[in-house]
Amino acid sequence: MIRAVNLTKRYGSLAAVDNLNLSVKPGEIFGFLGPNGAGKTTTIKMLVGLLKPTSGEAWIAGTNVAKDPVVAKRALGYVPDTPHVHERLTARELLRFVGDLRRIPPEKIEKKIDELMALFELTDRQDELLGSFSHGMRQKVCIACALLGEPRVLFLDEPTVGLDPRSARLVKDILRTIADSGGAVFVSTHVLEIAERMCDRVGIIQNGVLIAEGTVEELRSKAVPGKEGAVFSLEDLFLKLTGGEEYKELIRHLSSDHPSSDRASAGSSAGDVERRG
Amino acid sequence: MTVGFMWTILRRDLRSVFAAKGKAPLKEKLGFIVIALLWAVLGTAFGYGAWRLFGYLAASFGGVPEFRSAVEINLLNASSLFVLSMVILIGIQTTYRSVYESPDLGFLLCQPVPVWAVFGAKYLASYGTMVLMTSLYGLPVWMAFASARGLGAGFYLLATAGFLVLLLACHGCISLILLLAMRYLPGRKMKQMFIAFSAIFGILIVIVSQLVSARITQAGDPAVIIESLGKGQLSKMWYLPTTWMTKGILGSLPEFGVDGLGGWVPLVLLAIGSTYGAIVLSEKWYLAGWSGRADELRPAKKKARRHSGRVSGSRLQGVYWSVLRKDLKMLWRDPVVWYSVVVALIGLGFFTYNMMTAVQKGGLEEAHSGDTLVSSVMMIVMPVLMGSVTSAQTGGVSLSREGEAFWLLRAGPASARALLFAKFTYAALPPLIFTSAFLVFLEFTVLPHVSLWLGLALGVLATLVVAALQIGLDVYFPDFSLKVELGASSGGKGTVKILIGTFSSMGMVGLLAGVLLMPLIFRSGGAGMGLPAVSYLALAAMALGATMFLFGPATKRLHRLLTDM
Repeated sequence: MIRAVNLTKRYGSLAAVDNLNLSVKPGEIFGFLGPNGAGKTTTIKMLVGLLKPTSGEAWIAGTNVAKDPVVAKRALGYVPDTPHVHERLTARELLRFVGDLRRIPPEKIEKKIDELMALFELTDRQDELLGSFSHGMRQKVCIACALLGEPRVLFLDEPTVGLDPRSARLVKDILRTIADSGGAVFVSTHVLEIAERMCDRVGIIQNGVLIAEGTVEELRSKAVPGKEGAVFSLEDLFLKLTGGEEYKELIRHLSSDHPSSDRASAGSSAGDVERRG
Repeated sequence: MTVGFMWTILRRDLRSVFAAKGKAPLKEKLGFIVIALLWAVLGTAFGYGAWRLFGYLAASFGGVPEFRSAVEINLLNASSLFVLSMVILIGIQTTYRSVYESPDLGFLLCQPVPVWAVFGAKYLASYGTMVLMTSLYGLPVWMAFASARGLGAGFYLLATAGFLVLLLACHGCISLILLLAMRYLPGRKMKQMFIAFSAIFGILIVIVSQLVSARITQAGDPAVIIESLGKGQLSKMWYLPTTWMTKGILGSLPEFGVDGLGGWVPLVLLAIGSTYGAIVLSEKWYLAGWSGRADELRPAKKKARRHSGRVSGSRLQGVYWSVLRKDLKMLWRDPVVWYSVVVALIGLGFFTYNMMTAVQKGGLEEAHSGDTLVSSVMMIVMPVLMGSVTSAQTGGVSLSREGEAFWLLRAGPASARALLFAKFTYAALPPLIFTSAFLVFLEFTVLPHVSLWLGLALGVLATLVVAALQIGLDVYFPDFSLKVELGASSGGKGTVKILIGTFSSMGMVGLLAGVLLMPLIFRSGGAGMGLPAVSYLALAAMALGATMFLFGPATKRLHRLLTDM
């Protein structure tokens, strides 16, 4: 459903994404992790046809994105990292606009909007201008826009940022439903709990290079050779793979100077012991 | 100590402006240079015009010094009144943006710094901006006056000081009103109020200036013009700070017999009092008022229902129709855009009025004989021009006005060609509507004009060329941070973009008028008046070229914006 072949994006001498290869099958939720500035958004933009790769190819549902972007975009839904919308349209009008762009029959659009507004608990406010919506509400509208066309492939860039826990849970359930019905979901997130609990497979990118890919279990066994018996959280793995361990040391060092350091270090050690079993 | 905080904030603001300019790409630097040049050219033009006028007064009324002085006082006061109106029009928004909408306010107010230091820094920053923006209209007139009278350097300094104190007084009053409003009104409501007030005031200025212009056009004689300006007896408006400034500055010249101290004292007191009052009040009101900035106004349900309700199932779909429908819907809801439409309509109305008066004055026979071609061409070109000026702020920059929400089109299955033609239609609508309505209206008047169908055909061709130019500029130089407010952009970069769009559209309309006037131009060469067909063909060729440009390079460029940005 989603395939990246030697996908590369260079800005001068800087490789934002370097020779990235991955694929996401139907029915799969793929979690895309990486530190800030690692190249997650650039990768997603290339996959959805918002950015031309310097080299390599992106394929969506059998269509080469660079060669036939309109056909590829018809098959996908995309939620950007920041929910920018037209402030002088109402939520219903924006969704109707997106539906008309995709040539969805008007009756179906109206029915689908009713469903989505009810799902995101926006029915009461669907006829208000989006300018008066909060960040979280706009985020819900953007997700609704992506879902309106019932896409076979869904890309979400940090979808739970700004959402309350109830809505975040709702989004997770929706993504699972889409995957279970044969769709492919590609989600970039900083929330490792989402990746750990929800994603079928995970990829970790750092400095534009995909440094690990597989199921969470596979990553655990790959990342800590010789410690197969130990139970590591995805957070530990992530920090290990992306070089976060050194920051842990620094934080430990800094907190030793802090008045509450005894309590904090005691708590942290207890937490570590508890987590590692 | 607190002043130190204020200086730190100001210094950082200044540094960030200049550092940003220093590291900016060439395109941005050029834009900055264009603004500076435009500012200098306009200032020089105002100054030169005023200098000629004061020179004319000296030459004509040198023998009657009392009369000359009286007229000069009225002219200077009129120019100061104009500055005051510009301060109300521009200053309110400048202060609002700086004091209320600066993106760093949240950060600054969280720092261990007195609230009034933050307010004071923003107050000074907006004052500086206001001085830069309004000095263009006021100072050159005073400089021209001093130059025409051969006054010394001291007078120049005095005039500059008077001008700065006047602006400080106005800025202080505006800030006090703003503080009061922000304390008691929700943010969105307050913005709506300021925009509406500025729009109404701007329209009043346009009407008054058009009335004066109509009188001047009809009068012809400069003496009558000066007399008509003097009739307002502006110096009797003792209650206005502009009058205090005029009195204060002219008080240094004994021949005017004006009480200078009577001008300076209230002006300085107002400036100090309003500034001090604003800073003291800011300590009590600013933080609470600013924190209400994101207050939401939930529109009444009934009104909202009217906005979007249910629609029939047989609407036109696809990229072209959905984008056009969305743009028109947003245009309908954007009150500030109506401002430019109203201004264009007023301009067109006064043009018609002046033409009709001229025809009535000269008699119909005279109007229809000789150079009726010029009048006929003007009747086609003027509505195209007015419509183009309107679309330079609406459809002509509609791609840029997609703003941050452009991702919706980029991520949607939108073909570049369909999107381009939706934007082109939007840009062409105002000139097309203006031209059609105006040509139909002409059928019922005595004004000289070509036949309705010929006029419509020429109007459509001219519109096509101008709209293609506007869309081409927007596609090649988009600015997705552009926000149009009251006929101008709210950002520096955007202002250049809108100015370039407007002036190039005007230039193109001028060129089209030249093409249509070819028979007249070649008449002296003996080619006679039998050339209209050639000029029509030339216009059609230009329209064809514009269409080919849209289908070719412009579509390719937009495709790139959709897929690689």
